[in-house]
Amino acid sequence: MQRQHTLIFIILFIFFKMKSILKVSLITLIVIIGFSSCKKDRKIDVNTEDPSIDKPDNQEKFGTVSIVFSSKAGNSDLELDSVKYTNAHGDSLTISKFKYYLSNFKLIKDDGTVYKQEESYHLINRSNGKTYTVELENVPVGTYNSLNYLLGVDSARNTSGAQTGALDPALNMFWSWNQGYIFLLFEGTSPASQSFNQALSFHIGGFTLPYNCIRSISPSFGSQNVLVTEGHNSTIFVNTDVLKMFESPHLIKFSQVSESLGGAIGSSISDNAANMFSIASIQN
Amino acid sequence: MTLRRIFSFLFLLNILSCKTDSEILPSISKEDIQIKWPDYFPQPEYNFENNSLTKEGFYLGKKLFYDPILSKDSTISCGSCHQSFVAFAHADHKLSHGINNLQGIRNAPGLYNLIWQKSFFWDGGARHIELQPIAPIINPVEMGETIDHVVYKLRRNNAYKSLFNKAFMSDSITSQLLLKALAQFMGALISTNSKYDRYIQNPKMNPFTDDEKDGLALFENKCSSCHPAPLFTDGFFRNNGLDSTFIDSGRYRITNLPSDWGKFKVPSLRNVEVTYPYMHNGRFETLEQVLEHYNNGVLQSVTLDPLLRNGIALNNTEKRKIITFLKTLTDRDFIQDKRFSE
Ligand code: HEC
Ligand code: HEC
Repeated sequence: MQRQHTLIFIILFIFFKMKSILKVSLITLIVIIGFSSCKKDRKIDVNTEDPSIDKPDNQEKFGTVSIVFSSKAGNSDLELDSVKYTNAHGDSLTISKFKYYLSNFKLIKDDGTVYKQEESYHLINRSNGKTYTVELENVPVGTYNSLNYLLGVDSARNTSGAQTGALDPALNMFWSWNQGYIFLLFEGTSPASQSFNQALSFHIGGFTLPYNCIRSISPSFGSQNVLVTEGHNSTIFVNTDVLKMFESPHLIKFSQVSESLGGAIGSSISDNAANMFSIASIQN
Repeated sequence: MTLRRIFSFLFLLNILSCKTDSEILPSISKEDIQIKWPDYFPQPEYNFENNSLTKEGFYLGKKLFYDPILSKDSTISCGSCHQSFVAFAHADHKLSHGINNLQGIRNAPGLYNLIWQKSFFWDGGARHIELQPIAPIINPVEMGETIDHVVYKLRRNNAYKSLFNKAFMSDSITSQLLLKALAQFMGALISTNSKYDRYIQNPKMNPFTDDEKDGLALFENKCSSCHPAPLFTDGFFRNNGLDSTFIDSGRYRITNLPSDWGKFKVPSLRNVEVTYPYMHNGRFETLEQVLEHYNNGVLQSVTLDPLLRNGIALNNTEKRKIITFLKTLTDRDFIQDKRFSE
């Protein structure tokens, strides 16, 4: 903010006093000093591994991309409470709650340049609808051949103070005793469960080692691409198969594991959950 | 304005605009809410970034801190368990005492100098001063509320509507603003004016008695590896030998690491004279009992701190002198500060 003020002052000043070249060059010097002394400024940059982030500038042309997530159980739409499903191990189950955070959406071009969504935090809750759409605005035109996001909330946002919007703790996806977001919440029942009332309760979160439950997801585009053209919207349809949470690489038997609050089991379930997502189709 | 003046003005603005955390002067002020600390204190962990400390924000935070509206049945406020006259600990309570007379599992610590803390609670389960209050609000044995419902109650209250508006220029009350206001109040609870501080700053003007000097030397020798000045805690989690088997797993609950069994955050010893009972479970009533523990009560276990393998041998004179010194850490100005009390 203050730096912007400084710039405004300088611009006004140039405007009124622009008589001699000397003065102007002095001002330029001040601006340079001003900026160079700001090198230490901390940027809130959650994913530092991409130095090649595309920043929109005025010459570029933009389109939009929608990513539609549909909750599935196997091949059919996920229905809460009413329908009995079977997991990979053969245990029968019903599902009452299925919610998860996705964050830090990126689209990557074939030349490696990256588009990053600002303030990219989304809570997808099956109770609020069968599908959830992430809208990416101001995507520079071009051919994108991969999509990347995190299952969970990056560790920085777990520890940067009171948040709002999708990260509002009032949404009850926040642990108060070991503070941080619940990344993935699954509740239901199974006759195989040894827990009280045959309950299944998997609350998965935790962003510190050794049981970091954040997973980076890049669902395969196969041979398809997202073609972003000016003023045009492309749509990526993604299926989220809840039953994959219990399938592989760690096969879950509800008779042995019926609940988790992070930790080692949480970390295994996160490994599985990373495989929930598959691209159904891309419409350019 | 002459040209030169304008230049120096612009230059100053540039410099100001580039202040990073480490360059913040040891003072944050706004009208009568000014917080400052002596130069022998480190840089705080929390600099009120994204939450500038204002008089309005502070007083809103204070009102919320003392308002039972934050609890389910409107009987318990933060101030019920954190009382200003005992440096915001819970006077005479070993374990916390919440709504419906429910008892918690831990002793309420004093609240002061929180902006220097990296984590909160005996097990470090809260990692940010703004997020910490979610825990007592939703804990069934403390305030038993939901964040959603607290926000709903505040939104229906006209006094709060205007107070939030004044503090944050916002028409809507959100959990974020509630938490930021509480952080402004709690963050401003600074205790740096004990006899010890005055002695450090000017030993000629504010001398220690011989016993206090001896006590300080003994303390530096035997205690300060875990309770170092000026905060009188190293902020780490350690097992000081209270138990050999653990009912409360402590830090393990947070990290799941077996090496953290029975470890608890080293508490600050500022104001320790008034924050009894002591330890995470309120085990000891008096400082004499605490020192006897270090002298002769340390129990062995795998995670016992190596520094305490053989206890800390203390004769009666040494114990008395250490306690005399510990009492110089009491900050009467802080305990009696009208800006902080209900
Ligand atoms: C029922 C009693 C009770 C109430 C009500 C209560 N607290 Fe506490 N407070 C405690 C206890 C007990 C602890 C220690 C808990 C632990 O370590 O697990 C604590 C710890 C804290 C800490 C951490 C201090 C440290 O050094 O780690 C802060 C900060 C705090 N409380 C602020 C608040 C605020 C703000 C409120 C109101 C929203 C509040 N408390 C309400 C009992 C209470
Ligand atoms: C090896 C590290 C270590 C050393 C050395 C040590 N302490 Fe502690 N101290 C702790 C820990 C850890 C706790 C909290 C333990 C708990 O509650 O489970 C504690 C708690 C205390 C408390 C209770 C404070 C409160 O608010 O509840 C007092 C008083 C205390 N220590 C004084 C001393 C004194 C005096 C000495 C020197 C004789 C000393 N300590 C040496 C680690 C240490």
